[in-house]
Amino acid sequence: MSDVVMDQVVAIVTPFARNKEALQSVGPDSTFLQDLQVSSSRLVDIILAIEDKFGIEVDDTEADKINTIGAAVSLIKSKQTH
Amino acid sequence: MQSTFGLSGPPPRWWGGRPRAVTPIDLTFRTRSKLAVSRLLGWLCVLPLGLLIVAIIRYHAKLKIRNHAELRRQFLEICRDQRPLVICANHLTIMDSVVLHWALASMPRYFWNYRLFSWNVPAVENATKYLSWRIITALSKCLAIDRAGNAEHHDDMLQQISFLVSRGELVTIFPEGTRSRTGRVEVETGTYGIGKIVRSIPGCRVLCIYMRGDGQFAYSTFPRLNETFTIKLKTIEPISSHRGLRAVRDCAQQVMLTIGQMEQEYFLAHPEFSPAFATAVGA
Repeated sequence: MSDVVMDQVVAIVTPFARNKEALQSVGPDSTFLQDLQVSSSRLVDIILAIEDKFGIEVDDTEADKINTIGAAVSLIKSKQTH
Repeated sequence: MQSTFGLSGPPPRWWGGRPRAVTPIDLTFRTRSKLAVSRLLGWLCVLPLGLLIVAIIRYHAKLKIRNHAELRRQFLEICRDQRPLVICANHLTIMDSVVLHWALASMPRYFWNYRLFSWNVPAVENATKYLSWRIITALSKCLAIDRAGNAEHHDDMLQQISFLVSRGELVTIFPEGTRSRTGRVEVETGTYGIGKIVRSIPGCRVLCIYMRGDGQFAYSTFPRLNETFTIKLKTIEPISSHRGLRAVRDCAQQVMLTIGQMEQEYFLAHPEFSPAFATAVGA
């Protein structure tokens, strides 16, 4: 299950990541801003795309905590179980 | 003069008008003091430094602005409205801020009413590139931003900008985030900081500015010598029916779309200045 969510998150992130090499070794600990070099504005696009893709709502406080791929996957899974 | 040079206490009134709608945005004493000192230094230097720079612009670079007097009249008219105002402009050269300051009001006017002299948010690598630039940015209401900085740094910058705007100060930002690499307004890749600012200050207006030199076919470091600029102003009040980040994006996109629309109007009115036309005639 987590692999599917992870793959879907990576697919969402891919067009926004400026560091394409980092995408080859992307993992739960990969950070959006530093490792993948996603700009903060594009991170907003990613979070909104995640909301649309998974049918969840991410509030501002939760959004501030999405720093890594793993954090995004964990948030999605926790929202889906509720 | 107000305590801490106009940056503390209740939001000031301009021209004796009604109070503006503001959200309390507080900063640490240290940050407020830093802003206040920066403002005071800028005010003290606006005449000598400003007049020197204007002399260089006018008599060395020989830059000109179409309908300059009318543009300044429009700007003053817009600023007479008491509500908070952020200036958002397209970005093609690193001189854009300087040209805009010169374009919008005279240095004596800025000295008389220093609130009209907007704060700027230059990239730290530009602000510290040369000693002269370092001095100018230190003395001209600048908040240098590290574009590669972490989220905390960007949030801190947005807080400072929101604080200043809520206090009646003007802040100029370039929502494209960098000089347009295509030479055109890139609506799709705009940053969303302006959306956060607008959402944090009820009633906040955005003065969208489209500026372009006749010979500015792509981005560059400086405008060409003898350049003539066309500058257009349009004020909007972005609103969104969405919430949270979606509202932030929505408001920011309204600003970018407006500037993009102003660019289309510019090229419709001046097809001879379009990059495609220049390519076609081999300019």
